[in-house]
Amino acid sequence: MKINQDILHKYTAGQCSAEEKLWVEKWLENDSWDSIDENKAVAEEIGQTIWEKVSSDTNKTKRISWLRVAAAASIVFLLGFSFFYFEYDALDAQSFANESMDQTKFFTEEHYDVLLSGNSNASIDLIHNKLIFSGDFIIKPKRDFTLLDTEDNTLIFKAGREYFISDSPDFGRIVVFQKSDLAFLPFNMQLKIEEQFRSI
Amino acid sequence: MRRLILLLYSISTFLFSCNPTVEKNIDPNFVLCLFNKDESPTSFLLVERLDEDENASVQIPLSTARIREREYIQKNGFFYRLSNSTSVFTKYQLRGSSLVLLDSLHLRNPNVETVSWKDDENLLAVCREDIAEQKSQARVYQINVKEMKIVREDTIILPHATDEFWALHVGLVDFEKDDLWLAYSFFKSKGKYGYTTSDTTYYATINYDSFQLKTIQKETRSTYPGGFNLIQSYSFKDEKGDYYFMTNPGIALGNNVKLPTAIFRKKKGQHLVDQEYMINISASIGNHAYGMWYVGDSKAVIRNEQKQLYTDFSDFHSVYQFEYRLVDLKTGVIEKIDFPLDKGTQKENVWSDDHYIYAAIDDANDEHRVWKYNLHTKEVSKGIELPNTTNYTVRLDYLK
Repeated sequence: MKINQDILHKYTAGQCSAEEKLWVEKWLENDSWDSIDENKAVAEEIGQTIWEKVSSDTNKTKRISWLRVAAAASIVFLLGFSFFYFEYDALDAQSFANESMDQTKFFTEEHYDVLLSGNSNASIDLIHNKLIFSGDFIIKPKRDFTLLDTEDNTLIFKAGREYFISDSPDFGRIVVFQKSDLAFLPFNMQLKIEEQFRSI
Repeated sequence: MRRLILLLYSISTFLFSCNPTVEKNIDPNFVLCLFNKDESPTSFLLVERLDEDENASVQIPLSTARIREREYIQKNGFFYRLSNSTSVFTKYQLRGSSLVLLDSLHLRNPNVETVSWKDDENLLAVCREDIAEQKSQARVYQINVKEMKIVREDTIILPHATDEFWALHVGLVDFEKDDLWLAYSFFKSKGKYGYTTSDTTYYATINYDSFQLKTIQKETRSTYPGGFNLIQSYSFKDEKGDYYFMTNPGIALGNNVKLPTAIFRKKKGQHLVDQEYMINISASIGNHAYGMWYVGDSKAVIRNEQKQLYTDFSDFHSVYQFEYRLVDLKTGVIEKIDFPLDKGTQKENVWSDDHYIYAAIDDANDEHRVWKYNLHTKEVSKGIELPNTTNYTVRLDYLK
């Protein structure tokens, strides 16, 4: 299935099938500029139509599709938010541990997903808004919340985003980076974070 | 809360119904790469001019995978990009306001450290290879981008790794008189994420036909030559063909902060770096800098940090600290350009013509704008304003 303007229009109008919806969301998440699958060298014609169609008409500002994608994203967010707000309002306190030295461990919970790096643990208390942890982890909130860490920093988490959290002495203090901010770290640090968390 | 959600739904509906009526053909001369707020997809903003707000523009969303999004090579409207997940090197062309995938090929390496153009069609790309014990191994590709073919690829072990500093950084590549020239240094890991670079730089001259090392020149005046020039520029050739480059030992790159950021020179036709020439930027301004752009007439722009304004790695990118300065390459005199303070580590955001230096700046008022510096009058003035959805303007490329 190719991503084209028709599918994006259907997506923004909420008329996509479940498969199409999944496809568009994968496309938006993908690091490729052109297609879902960049795993192999492409034939000349493959992908040519994608951006041509997505941003087809030079007579129009592309903010149109931009707005639509943004609007679509906001609706998906709102649907998700309202779903979680109304259906899963019960807050909880959970503890996670990964005793492996070199393997990550994934936990999916009602209010967030957590990926612990090796030799790390985290206690996330949404009732009292406390975070106690050791090591490194990635958290992907499914709702907005704030947590107070052991250094009295108030950490703000937004639904749908990804955060890298570390108390490594290499940073000198507890650090929280949104995924996008990792792009500004020195390349060697980025590589080491990527080596640990293949999914980042 | 229900009312709030209803309101937000209404806003979304309004957004759907918005149908901007800008009906203007666009022939873009520049593309700006924008990291947008709220984790919105990275986007390209195509504009015809940098100095007028009444300017047709088009914005193309790219993807939300932000980490490698700005690492591309742009030349004459063609874009080249290496996927770090698949090692596929792709070529795109900007046609009007569409980004069209033209071709791709597969490399052995997922990351390129530095590139330069051997000629208009041939790209030299250098990767470091961490293969078993060969930690100081570099792989050089010559790619004909017109035909999208690997013309040649070779591997070379670069000497002088030590037991302590064994990890290779190749920061610069140049081609001069049929020889390949590489500048490199070694670094070591410190803890889980930390690292530091040794206090020595090496310049290697390699016979390109035989791919044998000819000479190694040792440099102790500074370290961490060049850097990832897919992200930011660290070298150029002037009108005479003299090659200038900078070293980057500050925390954003080399992390050996006691050594100075400096500009060095290799004269046209020479393989040895001029030992009589050094502009010590750190000594002049008291800070490290990253990024250097030639503006003509023996002058270059640099972008410097301010160590009193940031804490460490965690806020280095988000603090409004970066200044711009004009360096006279003949005299070493450095003048501050009175642009607003900028944020964002390593940005490729400077372009110049005969009259102006243009810099795309994200300032403390959350204003995202191209600023202009008149090279003759030294006056600073405003250029185009960028969308307020922008968080960081990470690149500004001329397309023609």
